[in-house]
Amino acid sequence: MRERLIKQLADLAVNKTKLMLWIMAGITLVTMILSGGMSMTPKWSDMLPEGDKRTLEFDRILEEFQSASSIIVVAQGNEADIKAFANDLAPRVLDSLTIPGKDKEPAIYVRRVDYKADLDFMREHGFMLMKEDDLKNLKDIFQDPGLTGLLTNMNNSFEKEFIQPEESISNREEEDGALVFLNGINSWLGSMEYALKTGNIPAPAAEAAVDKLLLGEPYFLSYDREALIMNLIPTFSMMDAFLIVDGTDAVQAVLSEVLENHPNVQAGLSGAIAVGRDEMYYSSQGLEISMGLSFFLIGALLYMAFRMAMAPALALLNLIVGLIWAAGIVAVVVPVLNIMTAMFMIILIGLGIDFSIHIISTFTEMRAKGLSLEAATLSGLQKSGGGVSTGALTTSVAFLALMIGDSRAMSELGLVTAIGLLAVMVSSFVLLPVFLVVRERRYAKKQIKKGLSAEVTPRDLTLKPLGRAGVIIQDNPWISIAAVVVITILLGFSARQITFNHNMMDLEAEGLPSIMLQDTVQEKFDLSMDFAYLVSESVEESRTLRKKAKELPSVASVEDISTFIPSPEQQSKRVPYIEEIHALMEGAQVTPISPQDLELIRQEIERLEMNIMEFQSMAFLGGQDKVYSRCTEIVGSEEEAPDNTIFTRLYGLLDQGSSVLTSKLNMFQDSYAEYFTASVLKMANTDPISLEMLPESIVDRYASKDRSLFLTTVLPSGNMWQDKLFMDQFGTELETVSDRTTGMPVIMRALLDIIGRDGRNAAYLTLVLVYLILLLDFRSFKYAFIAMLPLATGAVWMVGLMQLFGLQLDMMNVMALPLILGIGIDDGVHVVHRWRLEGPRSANIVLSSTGKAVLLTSLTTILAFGSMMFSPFRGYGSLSYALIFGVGACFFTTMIILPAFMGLLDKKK
Amino acid sequence: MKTKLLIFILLSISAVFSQTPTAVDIVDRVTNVMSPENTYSKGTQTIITSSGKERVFEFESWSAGKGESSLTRYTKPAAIRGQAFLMLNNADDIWSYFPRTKRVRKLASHAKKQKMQGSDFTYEDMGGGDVFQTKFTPTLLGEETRDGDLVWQVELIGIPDLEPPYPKIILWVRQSDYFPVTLDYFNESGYNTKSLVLSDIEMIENYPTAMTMVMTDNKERSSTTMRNLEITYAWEPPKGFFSERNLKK
Repeated sequence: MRERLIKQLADLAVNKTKLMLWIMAGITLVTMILSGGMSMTPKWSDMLPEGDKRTLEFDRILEEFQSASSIIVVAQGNEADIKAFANDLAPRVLDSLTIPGKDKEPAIYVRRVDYKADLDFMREHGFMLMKEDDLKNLKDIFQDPGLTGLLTNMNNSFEKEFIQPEESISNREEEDGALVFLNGINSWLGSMEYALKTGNIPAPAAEAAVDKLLLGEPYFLSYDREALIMNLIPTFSMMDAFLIVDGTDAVQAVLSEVLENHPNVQAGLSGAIAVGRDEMYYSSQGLEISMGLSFFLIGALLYMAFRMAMAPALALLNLIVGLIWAAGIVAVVVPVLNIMTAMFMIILIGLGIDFSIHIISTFTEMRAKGLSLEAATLSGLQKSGGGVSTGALTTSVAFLALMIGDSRAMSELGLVTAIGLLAVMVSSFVLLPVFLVVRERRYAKKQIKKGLSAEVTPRDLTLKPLGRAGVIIQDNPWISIAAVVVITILLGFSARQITFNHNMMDLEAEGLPSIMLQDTVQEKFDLSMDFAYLVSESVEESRTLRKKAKELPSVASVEDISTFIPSPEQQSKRVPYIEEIHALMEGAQVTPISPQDLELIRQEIERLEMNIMEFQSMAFLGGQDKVYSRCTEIVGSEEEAPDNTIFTRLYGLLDQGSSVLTSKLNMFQDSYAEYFTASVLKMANTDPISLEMLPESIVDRYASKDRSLFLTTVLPSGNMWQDKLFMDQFGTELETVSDRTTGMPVIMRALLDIIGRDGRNAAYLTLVLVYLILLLDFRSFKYAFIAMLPLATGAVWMVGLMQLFGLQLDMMNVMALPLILGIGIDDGVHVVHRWRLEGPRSANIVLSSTGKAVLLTSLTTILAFGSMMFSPFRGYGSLSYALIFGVGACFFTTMIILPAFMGLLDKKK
Repeated sequence: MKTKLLIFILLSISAVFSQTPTAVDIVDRVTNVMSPENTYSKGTQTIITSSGKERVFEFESWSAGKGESSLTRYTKPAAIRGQAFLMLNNADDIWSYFPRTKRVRKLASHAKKQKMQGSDFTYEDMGGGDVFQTKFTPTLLGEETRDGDLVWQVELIGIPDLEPPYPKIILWVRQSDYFPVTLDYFNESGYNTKSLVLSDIEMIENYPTAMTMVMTDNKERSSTTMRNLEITYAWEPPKGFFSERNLKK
């Protein structure tokens, strides 16, 4: 049947050339239009099985919760500059934005900008949000707003702060709390210094210092106060693939514009959406570069091999048409490509070009032998058609075997590549002969025009050295087999040593601006973006989840809405303390400072300095670096006497004459005391806090758009990318809290497990299916087995070589194992086909002719996969290295093992 | 017949003597082994700071009354040289001396459950005493081999009314000398939150002594290593040694 079909195709190519060209042009046009519907998703969760509860939950979170799809602006510079920049940028991004470089109507991309804490809410309910222990410890501060009383009470309270509250808090929470306290004191002392120096302090400055003391820093500043985060809440979500790019680009354009007015500030975009945009943009760009590069390199290689420009041109033209057909069909079957399936085009270039090479090789060889156009077309298809069709079928089946997997990463890659490969194969059988016929006729016409003979001059296009090597191996089969066995044992041993790299970050794109800023956020804010999500349907459920999650050993911290809505029991326990504060402050009288108070004020300032020095020593012993360095900024280092700290400067200013000093201190006291009293009384509000009372900026962070769902964010205590055991522990422990846990760590853990299992199952299935196809093709157990031997050996060599070259297996390159079974089998198939066609002891002709084609196809595949190394996605690079080793290994094992068998089996005959 | 009777009696006696001790016996022996009357040591304490750096301290430590009273004074690095901690009444009362301010501060009693000087040990972990005997109910879970040593696995369940330091502890105790080699500490939800591994065990003046102790906080993902550089149990505390006055020296 295959023979009949091949004969008909050859006949059509020679006798119905124009008709064939028109039909093919029509098909190409239709598939090109269809391919326009293809898009790409940057979400890793889209690689999990369809209907997977983690993916569904993740998608639901992205849809429902604005905070899950935010754009983060990271600004760096000195504190004053970055605050000014933030104040300038915030209103600008809320305006309608025009998509840069596109003629579109301006659109609103950013709904809200969160860059300052909502102090009004804190001002109203600050004490109700404090833990009972903190209220117990701090209530003393709020009984006397007068300078002497405040300093004394601050010291009393400060000394109590050595003790942690009974409620368990993490080192991080403890350190953050201490920093807020220190910053507040430092700022308040700063305003005192200003007052003593100038004799005047503007009310807003004094009030800002009081706010810092009572409420903390409003801006989201890093620990070193040299970086600032702004949270832009977009009008779209991660699910809107097109808006991710347009929206982010529009925001970036405004950011760049604002930056021009702030030359001392550096700023960029990060967060889920910006990372998604960068990944989509750079991966598409990377794949485009890879495709362009592979086309160029393959073309150059074919030009050198065939020693004419037309052969590579026709091969590449046929490949392009085949790829358009493939893209059109794929767009219908799998319209949205994921990170894995997006590379199917590169795989098709690497594999699809092989069909053209085999057909052109045999065709030109036949023409070089002097065969007529008709005869050469038929003979070319006959001699290579068997190998090409079987090779394409085995490779497609190997890809289809990937569909056994649950993950969309593998099953969709299998499906689209198999479909694509068959499309390219069909174009190679149907279109390529037509191209060759057209080319030959044009050549003949040119020759005749020039008055030359249209006959082709016989040439030998075979690769003689390969044939000679084949003969040597054929004549010494046992030596060759022994060498292969030894190498295989050694590389097999090496393969057993290979380890698995679970660190997904090593697969991510390197050097992308948004990812680099993620690292900045991690470093400066100690804020990881690798959190898990839990969803609940009420504040109470969220509180329960929070409590349970917080107890897990693998959890560092948990954030949810219940932090801002203490339970009724907690609130009622706090009420007596708040009422006490209210009563004390209401009854407090600020008496003017007299010269007699000056000594006490000095003593209390000295006491405050000592308290901070002791705090510093405890922080040093406790390894709390951030607290230690902040203390050092305030009181200087322990090892040398401080000479220019806020305290030394204050002592200098306290040496002014007593009447001047008394007047200045009274002025300072007047500037803040009233505001302090009013603020404390406002904070001492005992109204129970309810969800309805929370400001939008807080609710949006934790509640869904319709306020029916609540998001709990769980941060792991360890680095799961470097420790798979910890990743498993985190995932397993979270499952005990909720069966709907999701988020990147959960998805990645699932992906690692599922892809590992899918890959193994697909590899076994591929081996069985490939053997069955070979059995059908060769109708011989023996030849089917022999054709598979180089592949099996090559797979061992591949993993062994990877290990020898210091590579590790990972989630991307583990796919190379089932892939190479489909790709590597072609070498053996072509050589065994030709061997059976040429007869016994035919190593010379088989290797110099088909061997040359196999070498070419291996090199083109290596060039195509090798071009992926230039992708910013290191995952593609990792897969590309594995496939290069695999393809190379399969070529060598084919070229050694099969001639050896030719020698062994044919000798017996 | 007489011979058979003799053999029976001998076997019975040997069976009685080779019987596995009860959990209570094991905990009693552990308490004895772990609580020499007086101790003087020099050692190092290694912690990992919040920014991931390793920090090593050197200290001298004295304890008396089976750990009821203790004094620790840091000698290195210069930043904390002279800083000292005094623990009395099995860490119920803790005092600290700061050489830079020359002040002694009393830390409240509930601090004994808190981390000691930022390490993963709590003041109570270092307090010693008979807490295993008095505040827990022990159960022998079984025996196994650990690092070549035959060990008993003993579960200690805290008696809630007596405010035990942890709700549950599991000890692995060497059968050869009743020295605990590993202690796993659990929280109220049953999670193993901390683990203490005692190693490099040497016989010092008839007491098996761990020269290295590593406490790992499984939640904070941090660990603290304490190493004994020098240790003796033949030290007698002078009168008034464990006092605020001596703390300042």
